[in-house]
Amino acid sequence: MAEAAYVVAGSLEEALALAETHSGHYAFAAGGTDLQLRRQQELEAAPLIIDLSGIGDLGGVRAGRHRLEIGALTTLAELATSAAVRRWCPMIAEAAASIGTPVLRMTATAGGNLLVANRCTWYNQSAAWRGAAGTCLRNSGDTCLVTGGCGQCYSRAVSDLAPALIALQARVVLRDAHATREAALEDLYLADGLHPQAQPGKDAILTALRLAHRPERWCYRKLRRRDSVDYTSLTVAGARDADGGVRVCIGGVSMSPILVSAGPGDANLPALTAEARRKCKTVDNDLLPLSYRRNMIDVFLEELWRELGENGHERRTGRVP
Amino acid sequence: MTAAVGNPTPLRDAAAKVTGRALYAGDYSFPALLHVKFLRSPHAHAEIRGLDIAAARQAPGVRAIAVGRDLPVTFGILPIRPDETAMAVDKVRYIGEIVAAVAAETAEAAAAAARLIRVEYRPLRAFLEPAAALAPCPPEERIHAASRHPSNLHKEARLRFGDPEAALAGSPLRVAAHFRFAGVTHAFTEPHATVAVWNADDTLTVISATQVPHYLHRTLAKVLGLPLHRIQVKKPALGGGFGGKSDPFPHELITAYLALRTHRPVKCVFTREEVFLNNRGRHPTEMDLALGCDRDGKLTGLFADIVIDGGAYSSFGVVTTYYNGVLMQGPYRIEPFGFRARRVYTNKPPCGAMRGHGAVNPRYAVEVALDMLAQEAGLDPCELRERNVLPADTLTVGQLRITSNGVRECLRAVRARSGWDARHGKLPYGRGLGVACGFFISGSALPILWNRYPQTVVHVKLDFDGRVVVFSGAADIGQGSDTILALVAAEILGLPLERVQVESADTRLTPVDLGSYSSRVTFMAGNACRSAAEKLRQAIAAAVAAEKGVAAAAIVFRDGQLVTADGQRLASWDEAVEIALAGRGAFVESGHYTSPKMGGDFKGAGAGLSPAYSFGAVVSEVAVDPVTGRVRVVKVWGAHDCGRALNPLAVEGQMQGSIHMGLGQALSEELVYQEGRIVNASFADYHIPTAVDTPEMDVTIVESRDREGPFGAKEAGEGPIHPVLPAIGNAIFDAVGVRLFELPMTPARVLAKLREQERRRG
Repeated sequence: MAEAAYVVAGSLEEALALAETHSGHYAFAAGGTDLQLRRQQELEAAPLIIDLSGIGDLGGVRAGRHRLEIGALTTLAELATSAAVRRWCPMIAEAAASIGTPVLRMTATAGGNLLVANRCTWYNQSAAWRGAAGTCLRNSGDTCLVTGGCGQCYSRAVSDLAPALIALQARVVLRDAHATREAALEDLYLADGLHPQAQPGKDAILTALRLAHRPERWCYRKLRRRDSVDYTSLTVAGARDADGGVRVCIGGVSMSPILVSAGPGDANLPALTAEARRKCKTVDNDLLPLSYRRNMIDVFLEELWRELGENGHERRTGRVP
Repeated sequence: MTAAVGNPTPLRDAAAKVTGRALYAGDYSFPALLHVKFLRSPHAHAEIRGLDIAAARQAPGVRAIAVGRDLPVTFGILPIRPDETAMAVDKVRYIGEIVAAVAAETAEAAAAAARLIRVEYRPLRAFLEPAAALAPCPPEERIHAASRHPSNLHKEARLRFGDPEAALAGSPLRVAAHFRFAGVTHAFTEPHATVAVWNADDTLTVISATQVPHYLHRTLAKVLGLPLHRIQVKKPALGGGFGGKSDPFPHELITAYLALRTHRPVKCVFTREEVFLNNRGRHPTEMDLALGCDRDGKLTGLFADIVIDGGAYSSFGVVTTYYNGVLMQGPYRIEPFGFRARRVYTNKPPCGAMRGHGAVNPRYAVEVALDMLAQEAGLDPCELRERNVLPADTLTVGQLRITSNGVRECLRAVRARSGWDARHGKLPYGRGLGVACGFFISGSALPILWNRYPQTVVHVKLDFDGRVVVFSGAADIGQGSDTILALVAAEILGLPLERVQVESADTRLTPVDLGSYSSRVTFMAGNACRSAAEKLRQAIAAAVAAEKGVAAAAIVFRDGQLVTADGQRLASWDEAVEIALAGRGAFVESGHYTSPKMGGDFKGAGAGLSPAYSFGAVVSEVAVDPVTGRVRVVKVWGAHDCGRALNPLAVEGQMQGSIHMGLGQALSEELVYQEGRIVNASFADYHIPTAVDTPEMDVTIVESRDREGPFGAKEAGEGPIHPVLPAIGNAIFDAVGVRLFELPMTPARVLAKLREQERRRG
């Protein structure tokens, strides 16, 4: 693990000022649960860690009548148990509760999960392992160990909150030293395994999530080997509006969360599945076999379609209260 | 009345371990401690052409660097094939093999310096799969050039009793299948750690996370060239082994060597990835098995052809090779019987002994084949098994001597408790029940090293303070052997448990015990402890009898008192101690155990011999999702004949732990390799079932009271695992009608089978 200086920022302004001063040579830490793993495997070697966890006004859930705001430092445990979140849409709590383990959820944050680094079986390894395997595109090489290609990195976006929140049309608040702005959550991501996050942008901090839309029905499903600990191999989240419009977001199988949606009257399963297949750039970079994961995209979409229908009801699905 | 034996007793070290007070090897620290880090091979198979340590030597904080040529003496847990060296000497044989070691003032400095070591390799042809390794190749290509075989074959074991092929050909019913098992590893909690200290009196102390202090002691002497009497090996609190700490290891030898060279204490603590690279887990296995029975379900013969993938070194491999075959000859009467088992070297981290050593994979094959036969014969799978189980006091086809045998009671217990008769074959599609039995050795009757010493010795000491101290070399690795020894001594001496203290696994203080492997400690050290405590009791009784004018034989030891048969108090324990020690001082009484002579007169007759065998049965209930192929184990009923449960709490714990470990190998655990690199060398990616993946368990202890075990006890640490895996496989068949011949039974594999079934049915 590389040595790093460690600063606990007392305020957002201090954190942003530090970031600007050390631009390109620092890493933000919120819960640190993803960062520490990457530091241990020497995938992250920034000489400065700016700890955001002490910034008081970045946490907590604020519920209004027509809107819900989630501070970026809200822990996943808080999200999973927050009554306000459950009232808004239980899918958010379900998604949070599906991440990591109870201990990790007490530390890991909402913002950190949205910005969790993309993963690949051939990349998320120790320095010695990567040295033995030869360099990959993401590890200062010129060939992808998965596909043998030299253009595209297909590392997987593995945030489990992102699919749920994108399906719910969440927006994010981004702040840098000069301005505050808002963006659709899906615009945070790029379909580029090397640079999977377009936002929050250079030396900016994601400070909060805003929700203003409540669907009529929702469905959340996650594929993994065990019912705890594991990163997702496939996450499918869907929301259906009263008018029949459907937004489905798929995580874990492509470089970014994949949004497939259909307006009122247009939604049908074959079209959604075809769009998902077209958009998901799924390669053999997870411990579950590629053919199985592709197969499960179809299976999950089929189940989701059923559950979003009028009569569907299951533990991981439901009607918004 | 004091009843130590048979009382559910929390393990002696439990409170210290769960409150963080227990000292593990990695917790030990000394002034001027150096830290060691390793440079490991990035090649699966390569010749070392050059090694340059100049830059590393100049790096800050570096105090010593060791390379292969510093420690060229070969070693291995089995004397038959010492093919390991502490570091690679002329070539590397797997990715992750240690090439050099740096001792520095901090672990970070050692790691940084290790990276400065330059090695020039000439890559050699890598053998990564058994099929390639079995093909003839020139000596210079072989992983071990000195091999007697024209290929990378390490060991071939064959045994035949009768003509199984002919019997199977003529059998009214016969099933055959090809089975594949992925390699799995122990995944214990505590990573390997060793601290070595060169003492002022020119002796060496090695504190290490080991299951086998005695073999480590001998190997240190051999490799370092030090006399045995100048080496002390201590095993501190240990966080799990399951066979993964039962070889003497390169890192232990290197750490000791660096202490010797620098005359400073040196410490080595593995990362989790290094634990995976060290491996010694269960061999990846391919097996063809044929099993037959007549129309009444009586077994007519068995033949198996087995190939196990040993990795780069031999470790326990010769034993594993035999166990894969010989441990199929129970718990049923199977005659004729034959097998060929071959272990091959490959360029992967070495495999070795793991809980249920050598018998877990073949047990899966046999029990699945039995289920298939039951189906063909139209018999209930429990009934078919009952018709074939061995009785007590018999010999198996290969002359393993069976004494006590509770397999029938085990089978009946799980059958009744699971509601088998009302539910098997009758649950809705997607739900199913499966059954399996098993058996295992209660200690290997043959020691690893042939010599005239007993297999274990226990001293029991009594001094003026009235405490009894048991000295044993046995390694408590979390299985509770210290607690067992205390229970045995307390039972014999009629003492409350708190009067008995245990000093164990310190080769300077404690007499030799061969170690915690092959499920031998309760049986062997328990018997030795019993014998030592009985001698002490006789001595005390004789002294008190003389003083009080009663017959020694009439004195009863109970509740910390000495009383006559009719309950008349003769002396308190403390009074008796003073009487007994008068004019002579402390007692140290000794007991020992050596297995009786047993077995047939043929090559390989010693394999699988044990003074007693444990037996067990499991029923599992599964829910299979036919859309995703996912299997959820809903509940497991286990029954185990451990002879007698000296500590029922520990036996239950071993049974539950075995169910959990078996569940992992059955459904989710496997070492995944890519060109010789372990892809999932972390607990994030090596999928041990978590608490939420673990089913409800119902465990039943069956006590057959073995005549040779201490108070009737046999083993309980390994035998309970064997039936777990096939009970799950057979339950999947009951649930959805497909047979899984490949482990782990992942959702992808189950789904592929279901698709195949759909295609067959059209």
